Amino acid sequence: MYLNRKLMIILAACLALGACSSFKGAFGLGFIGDKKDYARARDLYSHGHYEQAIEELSAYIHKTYNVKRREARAYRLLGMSYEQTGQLSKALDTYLEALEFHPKNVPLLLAAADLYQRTGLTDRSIELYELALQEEPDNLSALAGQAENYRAMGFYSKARDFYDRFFTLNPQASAQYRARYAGTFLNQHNYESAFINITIALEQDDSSPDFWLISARANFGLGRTEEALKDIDIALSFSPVRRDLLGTKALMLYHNKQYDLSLQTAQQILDLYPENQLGLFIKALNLKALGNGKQAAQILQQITALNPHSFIGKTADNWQTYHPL
Amino acid sequence: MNSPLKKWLGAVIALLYIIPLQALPAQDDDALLRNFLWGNFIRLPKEDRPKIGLALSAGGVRGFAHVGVLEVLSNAGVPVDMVSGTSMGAVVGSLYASGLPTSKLWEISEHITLDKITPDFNVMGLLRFVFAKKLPTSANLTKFLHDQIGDMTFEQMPIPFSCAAMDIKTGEKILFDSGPLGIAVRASMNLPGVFEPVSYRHRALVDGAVVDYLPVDSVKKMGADYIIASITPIDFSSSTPKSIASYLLRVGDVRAIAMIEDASKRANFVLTNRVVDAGTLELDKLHKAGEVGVKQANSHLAELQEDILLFALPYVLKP
Repeated sequence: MYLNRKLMIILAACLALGACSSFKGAFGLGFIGDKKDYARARDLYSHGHYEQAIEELSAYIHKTYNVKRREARAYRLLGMSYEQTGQLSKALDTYLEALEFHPKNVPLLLAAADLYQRTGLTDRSIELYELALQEEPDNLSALAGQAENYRAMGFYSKARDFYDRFFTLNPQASAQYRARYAGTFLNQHNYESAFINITIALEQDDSSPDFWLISARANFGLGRTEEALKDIDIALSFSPVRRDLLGTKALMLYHNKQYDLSLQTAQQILDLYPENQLGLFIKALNLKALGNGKQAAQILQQITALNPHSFIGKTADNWQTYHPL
Repeated sequence: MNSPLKKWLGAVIALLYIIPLQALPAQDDDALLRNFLWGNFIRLPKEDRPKIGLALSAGGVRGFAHVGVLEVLSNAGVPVDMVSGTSMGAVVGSLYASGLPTSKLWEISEHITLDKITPDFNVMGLLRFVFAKKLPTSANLTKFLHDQIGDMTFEQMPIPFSCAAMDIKTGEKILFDSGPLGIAVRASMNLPGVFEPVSYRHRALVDGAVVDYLPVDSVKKMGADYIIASITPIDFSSSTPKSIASYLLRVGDVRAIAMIEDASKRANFVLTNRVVDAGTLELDKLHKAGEVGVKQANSHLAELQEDILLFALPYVLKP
């Protein structure tokens, strides 16, 4: 009887232990990925072996049965690996899956918000940046990201609010941010503030043709056409065949009544891009201004024939209708 | 986040080209010419170009999308020479035409509550409604407008403005374009069946949306050559009415669709703001409605500028 009781206790203990071990995965007590696996995956990522990193990280994450105990940083690294291999939808799936278990994890929120932003899904990006800012109101990435979202949306006054906070916290931010800030002013026809900010950006980096173009447009808006033309020439020294730079220059010269020079620039566009509608249109504008209406009219007809549906094509067509040359 | 949505997003993302974050997006040829001509157009003196009028539709909270539209038009320098609005369009239009900047309108969206419109959405108001069979009054709206723009008259407004109401006794459309502004705007957004009629000039006035949901003809009458209409049609699928008041408002919205379709034909350019999931009096959704207006107007801005330029080309390219 005594032996039987002892045997019963031992048997009961064995049964209890077995039950625990079979449930421990479900309770999150076991089957957690080895930290060394994560470290190995991180090394693979930092050495550019993204496909292998994806394999390692997927295995590492799924080793943890309890989804709530799966590590946010592993998900984030997996998402980043997917991004590096161009698998954006998988990257997004990864971030969103992780956010189900870690809804307040700021790096995950930022990663997903950034991905939404880069793919043009601004609304979703705004939502996630908002959540990140609720957790960390002074998070610079979230402030800059939200500013960029509102800028893309065309809500420039709100974009500026976020940029203002961003620059207050981070006055030494890179020139690219300052240039985007200047861009919001330019879009609001606030040329003075655009000029001030792009000048600050150019002090940090004067090798970007985009920055010089913004400076040119700000100067032009302020009525300083000569300065604007100098800025455009600097931009062209970096990118001599960029059509938007050449087109801007030709139009500014035309505005400044420098018809011969504008004509030369339009010809430069046409040499580089034959039958370009903008080049042809600027040529027609200048020929008309120089008194050669007949040739201008021929060019307008040529523009309409090339593409009557573009804005330039429609403008050329209407011009002939309203003001026959 | 549910699975079909994730799949859909995944598919969209797989198809989309990654947008580089440049300081300013590179301009294509059309954009370069458009911006150049646009600069010339907005520098023209008012008397040397066509007059641009703005018609702002009714729509309750959805109508706050007009603020977003005004924000975009203002940023782009679109000259607005006259405004006509109905109901919420009248509130937004009157504040804008009286000289308030859009930043102030956004501020208002953060602070406005139902008690700024009516003093009767409380127990006393309910008792009054049940026992005296009297609807709430929208009297507080006049005070609210007064707080924003003072005792302004139509004649004093920097941008000419008009708004419509309806005389419930005769069914007439009453167009206000002179005299005190506050009470006219209140009458224009005095929802029938929700608020008691406004007694003014021997009339019993209710919301102008019943007769002139989209005031294109009114802005034409004011002398506009080119008319931009901003509309906020309801998305019927987004909600089902659940109260007597919302049923009444829904009937108005159904009728509104026909009026919008008809009036839109006479506008030169229509900006359609689809604000979903916002009830007529859900004032906490004003800001979101405004953001819809920003997005809509911004996504059609280039198209609008091109249309105005082609309309005004004889003036822009005047020898």
